[in-house]
Formats: sequence, C-alpha cells, structure tokens
Amino acid sequence: MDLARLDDTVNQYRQQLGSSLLALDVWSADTGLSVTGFGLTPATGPMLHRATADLRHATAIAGVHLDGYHVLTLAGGVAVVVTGERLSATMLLPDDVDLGWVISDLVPAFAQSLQAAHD
Amino acid sequence: MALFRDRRGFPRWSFIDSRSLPRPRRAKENTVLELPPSRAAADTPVVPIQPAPDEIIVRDEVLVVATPMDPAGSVRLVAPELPDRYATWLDERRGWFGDGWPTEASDESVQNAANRAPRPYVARTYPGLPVDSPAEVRARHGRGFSSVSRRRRRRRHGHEVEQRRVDIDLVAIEDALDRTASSVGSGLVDVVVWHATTGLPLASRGADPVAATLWHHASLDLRAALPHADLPDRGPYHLVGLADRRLAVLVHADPDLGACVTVALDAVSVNDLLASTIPALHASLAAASQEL
Repeated sequence: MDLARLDDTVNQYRQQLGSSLLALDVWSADTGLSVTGFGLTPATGPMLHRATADLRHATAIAGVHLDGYHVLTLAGGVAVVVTGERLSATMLLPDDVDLGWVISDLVPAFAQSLQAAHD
Repeated sequence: MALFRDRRGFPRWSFIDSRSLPRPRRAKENTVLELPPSRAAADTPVVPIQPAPDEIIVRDEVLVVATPMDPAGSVRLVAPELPDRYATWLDERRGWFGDGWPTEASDESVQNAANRAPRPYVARTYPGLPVDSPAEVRARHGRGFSSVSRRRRRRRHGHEVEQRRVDIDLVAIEDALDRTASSVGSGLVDVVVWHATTGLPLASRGADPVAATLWHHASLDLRAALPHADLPDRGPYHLVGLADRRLAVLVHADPDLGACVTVALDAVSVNDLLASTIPALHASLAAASQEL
C-alpha cells in the first residue's frame, strides 16, 4: 500500500471538492483501522466497516449483492461509503449535494482512485 | 434484669420477681359480690346498726336509731351522718315540690338539649362507572398485590415499557405503492413496506417477504452503529448500490414504517426519483400510521 499516493489522492479530492467535502476517512478493508483522512474520529472507520459488513451479509441472504457503495442521509449531511477490495472510505458531504452526480460520477471515480492507490 | 423462677418453676429473665406478686388463682374467694367497706359506705346510705335495736324513730327524713343499751336505762337517740350530696339531693327535691312539679319542657331546656348545631346533609357525589375496563386497568397496573406473595411481586415501576398503539392504514399503503409503481415506471424492480417495530412485511410489489426483514435488520444495525461512529442520526433515506446497476432506496418513515424501493439505474433518473417519488412515498407512509 502506497500511503504517500493515498495521501495525494485525499488531498486531490479535498482541493477538487472544496467546501463540499466536509470530511473523509479511508480505512483498511481487512482490519477496519483508519489509514488516512481528515475531519472524522478514528471510530468512524471501524464502525462503518462493521455496519457495511452487516449490510453486505443481509443483502447476500436476500439474494442480491452490494455494488461497492451506499449513501446514508444523515441529519445535516450525507455520508457516502465506498467499499473496495483492500481499502474502503467514507466521504461526508453537505445535505444539498446532488446525489445523482455522486452516484454516477463521484463514487466510481473515487473507487478507482482507491484501487489505484493500493496497487 | 435477673433470672427468676415463675410460679410454675421455670427460669425466666425478668425485671420483676413474680414470686412477690399475688397469685390470681389463689386470691381470696367471693370477692366479687362482697364490696369493700369503704365503697359500701360511699355508695349506699347505711345506717349504723346496733346489735339489737329496740325501735327506729323516723324524724324528718333522718333515721334515728334508739338503742336501749344505755347503762342508765334511758333512750339515746343516734343521728347517722349523711354525705353532703344526699342533703343536696333533698334540697333539690324540696325546691321542685315547692314551685310545682314541671310538666312540660321549657325553651331553655330544649336549647340545652341540642348538643350540636344543625348541619345540612350533602349528598355524596357518585363518581359513576370507571372509564377504563378492568382488563385495561389490570394490564396497566398488574393484578395488585393481593394474590401474589411478597417474593413474587413484579417490579412494575422499574422497567415499565409503554407500548405504542398504532393504527396502520393498509389501504393507504397499497395506494402509495401503486402511485410509486406508476411514478417509477418500467425501472421499478420491486418495492416493499414493512413494520418498523417487528420487521414484518405489510405490502409489496414483486418483492420477497424475506427481503423486508433483512432490510429492516440491516437498517437497525446501521442506525445503531452511527452514534458509535461519531456521526449524527440517520435521515429519511438510505441509498444502497446493488449489483447489476440497481439501486435500493430505503425509506425510513419513523417510527412505524419502513420501505425499500429497488430500481434499475439504467431506466430511472436518480435525481427525479429522489426529488419526487421518494418524498411522496415517505409522506404517504408517514400519513398511513397514526398513533392512538
């Protein structure tokens, strides 16, 4: 895992989104421990990692499979969770963000960046 | 405190030596009918009787006993002493007969006979039959303590849970699903509505009932994880990306109903879905359940 490249990726998204990116956290998909990020506590990564694992397990029982992301609308914001093979991340966005753009553009691009940073 | 022996001979710890007390069973017999001398003199007018009186002379209500026992042979008159209250009683009756015997009650005596002021009678207001049925009262307060022992009493005040009574309009839910299906169009995969307390499916369009329970439990787990992740509480929607370019939109119509709308992203615009269809479904579900 190239941590320097991962930090560059985080800074790139931070500059690109500006004030629209409230917080970001990247954690290891194996251990759930936070690797890099800003604006979130170290407990966010493990808890969302566990919640995503439960969600994946539930959908698998129902006969469907996760596509690698889910978007939580929160009180005062939106949390976008992107899960990869080795790295997972969450981005905290304001509540007035365009969710269509998030799902169609932001999530695939960020998942590709995570995969590239790990490789 | 000392160790004494009672009247049966058994040792007893006591402050009083019972041997010094009179024994009731061995008290003097025939003491019930025989008055003591002092009480007899006080209650009844007693004339001191000489051993052999010859004659009794009554002089003005005072008994005078003549005794011939004088050694000189003359008669000696003895006037017994009466208590003062007898003299008062006699004076009172002398007064009555002097003024005439009273034949009717005077106004003063009537006033004195009334021992309290007259009070008006106020009829007690009857509360009527209880509003709650006995079954409801028993469910709320238990059976009471009369039929259970002290050790088996339930602690009713420590963990009482107020059960919410909710009226869910199933017809309105069916109408909401129809409107959702017509709004989404051909991009709708399935939609299901479940009870948020139990996770049981209430209505669906092309969805597996098991999926409703699974989405319900996944939503509960995710919501329970949010405060531990230092994140705020969840909002009304949760978008879950699924394989084959499908999107599941979980609608949380708190606190009674939940729903999941699965659409195909190739045939549905996410912005239109989140701008009109999902808020309409959320409002319909929120209006379909009313707390009693």
